[in-house]
Amino acid sequence: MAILSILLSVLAAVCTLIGFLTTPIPVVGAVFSFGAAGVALGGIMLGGKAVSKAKREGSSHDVARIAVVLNVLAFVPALLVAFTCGACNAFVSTGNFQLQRDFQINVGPGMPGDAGGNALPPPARARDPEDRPGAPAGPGKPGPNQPGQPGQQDQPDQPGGDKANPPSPRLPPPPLPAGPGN
Amino acid sequence: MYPLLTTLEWRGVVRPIGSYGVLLALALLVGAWVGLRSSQRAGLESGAMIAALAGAVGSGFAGAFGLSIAVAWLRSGSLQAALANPGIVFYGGLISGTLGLAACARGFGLPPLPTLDSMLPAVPLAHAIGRIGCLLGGCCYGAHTELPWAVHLAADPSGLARHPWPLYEAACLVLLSALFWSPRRFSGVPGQRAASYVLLYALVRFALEPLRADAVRGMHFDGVWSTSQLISLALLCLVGGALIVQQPRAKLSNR
Repeated sequence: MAILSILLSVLAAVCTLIGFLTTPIPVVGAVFSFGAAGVALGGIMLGGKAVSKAKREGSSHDVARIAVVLNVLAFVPALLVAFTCGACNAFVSTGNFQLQRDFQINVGPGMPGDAGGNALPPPARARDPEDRPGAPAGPGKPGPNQPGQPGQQDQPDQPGGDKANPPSPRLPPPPLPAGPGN
Repeated sequence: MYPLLTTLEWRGVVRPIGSYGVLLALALLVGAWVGLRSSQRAGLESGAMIAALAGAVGSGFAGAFGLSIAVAWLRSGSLQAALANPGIVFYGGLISGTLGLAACARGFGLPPLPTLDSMLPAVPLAHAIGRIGCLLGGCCYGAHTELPWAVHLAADPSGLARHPWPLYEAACLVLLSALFWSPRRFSGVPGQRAASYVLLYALVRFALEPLRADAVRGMHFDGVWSTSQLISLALLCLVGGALIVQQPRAKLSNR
């Protein structure tokens, strides 16, 4: 049981890494990002059970304790990736990628809507002349069809798109954003 | 306030690390540590407790996400829109985490009610740390105010000065964790400690909610009651009723 728990911690670490790398791929990124945290929690449960069993049998529970520690170590980055990349991917996977205020916190350099640092831009950006077709994308402002950017090709109503495909009208954002916690 | 803590870079792939996620991880670690210590003091077997805690965290997150999606679904009328805006709701986590901990405790051979009792003061302490994460993340806006300690949130397009609502709740939660620090307090019958905490937290949340003015998480009955206030009311009735019923037993056991 303890060995299985250690294997789960390794699996969680691998899933975290894959989730980190596959954020722009719809569904896949979310599955790996959230799955890694779930696998690590499963590993902690097995490790705890192994500690309990070893204590009952009066044998050494060092391996089981190591398994618990490894899974806790795997859980923390898994949680961070789930709350950044996984949430971002879930956002993209729904096919309704709109730059909303609350998700700006999860958008980093090189990703759509990047404002750099901690500066958060308003939700509905006015389009500027640089958004014309063929214009080079500035830093933090990806081009209209730049590969690897979530929501770019599949979501024509993303703010800041080219003028050949004007954004479709959509409802205004809610009065206050739903944040990560309640 | 300070939503982006740092960025993680690996082989040219850059991902942001938000303050909220880091504070949430810290809250879970601190909460688990304090919870394990108090469960050891209560004589609960630590291996089974670790396993039960992991189950509780998993079910707590599932409930927190689930309630958030349910509220957003009700508000927008579209499941797709609800899934596009995922969040976590503390009350969902509290209810499903409590049920998950009780079920896992039973499954791993621990007494459910003393196990729930042993999670105090860990729960309010972890929750307080999480609220600091809320403040840094810029979510959980407060109502508009002109008080000197009002804050301006970077993500707030209105630019209004607002109550630092997460700080208010964090302060109350620290007080609650101090109140529950002594394992003897509120410990009449098994489960009384956990029930007392839920009751006190529901009161605090009910009282603080108007300062939040958070219409986006659902307002009901012509905008009078927020979702969290309705859940608080339900918990006050349920848990308060259970405590009143248990009172004679607690008096008998104290004699």
